Amino acid sequence: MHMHADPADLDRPADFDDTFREHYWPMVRSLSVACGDREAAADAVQDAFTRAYARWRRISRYDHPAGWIRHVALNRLRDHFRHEQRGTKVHARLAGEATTIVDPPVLPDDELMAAVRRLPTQQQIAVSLYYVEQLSVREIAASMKLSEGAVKYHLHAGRTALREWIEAG
Amino acid sequence: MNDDLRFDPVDDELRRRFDAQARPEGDPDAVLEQLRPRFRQARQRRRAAFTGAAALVAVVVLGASMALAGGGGSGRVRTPPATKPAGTVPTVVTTLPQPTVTTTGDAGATGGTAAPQATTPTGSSAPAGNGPSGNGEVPPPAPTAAPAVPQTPTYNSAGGSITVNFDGSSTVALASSSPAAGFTAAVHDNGPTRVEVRFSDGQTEWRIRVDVVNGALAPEITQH
Repeated sequence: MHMHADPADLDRPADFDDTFREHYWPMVRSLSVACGDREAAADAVQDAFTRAYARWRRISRYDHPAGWIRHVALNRLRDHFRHEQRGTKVHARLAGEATTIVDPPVLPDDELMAAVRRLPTQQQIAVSLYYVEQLSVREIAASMKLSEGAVKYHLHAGRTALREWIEAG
Repeated sequence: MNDDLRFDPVDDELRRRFDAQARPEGDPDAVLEQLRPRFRQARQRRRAAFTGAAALVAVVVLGASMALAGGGGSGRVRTPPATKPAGTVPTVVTTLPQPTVTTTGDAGATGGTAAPQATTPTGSSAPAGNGPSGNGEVPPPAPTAAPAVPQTPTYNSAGGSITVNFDGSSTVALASSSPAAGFTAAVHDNGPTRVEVRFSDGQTEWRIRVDVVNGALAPEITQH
């Protein structure tokens, strides 16, 4: 859980640099797993931190500034792949091919990543944030703008699918 | 940590496998330093956007407040409302070449608002401040309850002058008109509630209009 260690710190605005140092790489890692594209994940996280920096006076006073940043990064990532899928459709149409939605590139030689990629999107994100960034259900709910019950549902379903994959492998 | 989801033995296995996938990560401070110019630009853009939006809001608010205020400060002198025929919108001239209003009678003339100067050679009983003011301001209309006193005021313009007979309450009629040199006079209205005479020299037309408004005369002298 990435929160202020000292309760006295809760009343103090978070420091941007400290927040960046603490959360940048974990976010990039978890979003890379969620989307299978490390570069796109890094871009999304950097964009989110850039937006946060411009609004830091307000965001620093949130209970979980990192949750806001992660949520923005997830939205950026969704926009990125929505745009890519639209571009893929256009290219396919121009080439006279059947329209198919191509998944983002999967990290090479990585069966686990491929298994994650087969999960529904919400499960991919929840599983990534839970197992990779090791967030709590509450933090995941805040980042995904879902209820904790919905997060638990997605985690349970994702875990079940991955267990089947492990047992089959 | 994330102990609010019931533990499952597969959790440890999944964490182990995900950790095994982790690539070496660089120094976050190095990334931070690389991103600093981008951060600063974003903040500057946001501040500029805020400043622009604030300026736009200020302009809109100012414009709205001026519109609500009715565009005051235009320098126009408004005479008391008169009963005008629809479509007639004369131009009110505030800089007249010394027209004068002469009244006769016991009561003070309550019109002559467009005349910068007025004289009351007769009717010395006129209450102070009830006649036309010397600065072109509109005096308050006489109380309607005042006793009706006949008057014969004269109104001058550069095109000529007129004298009207006013019964002091509701009826006005043209007594005489005198065009200036080079001007001709045309009586446009002659009572009972309005007198209007137009003086023209072929290029310029002066109009002297006198209305009865709330029991008082309301003159309007305009150039067209």
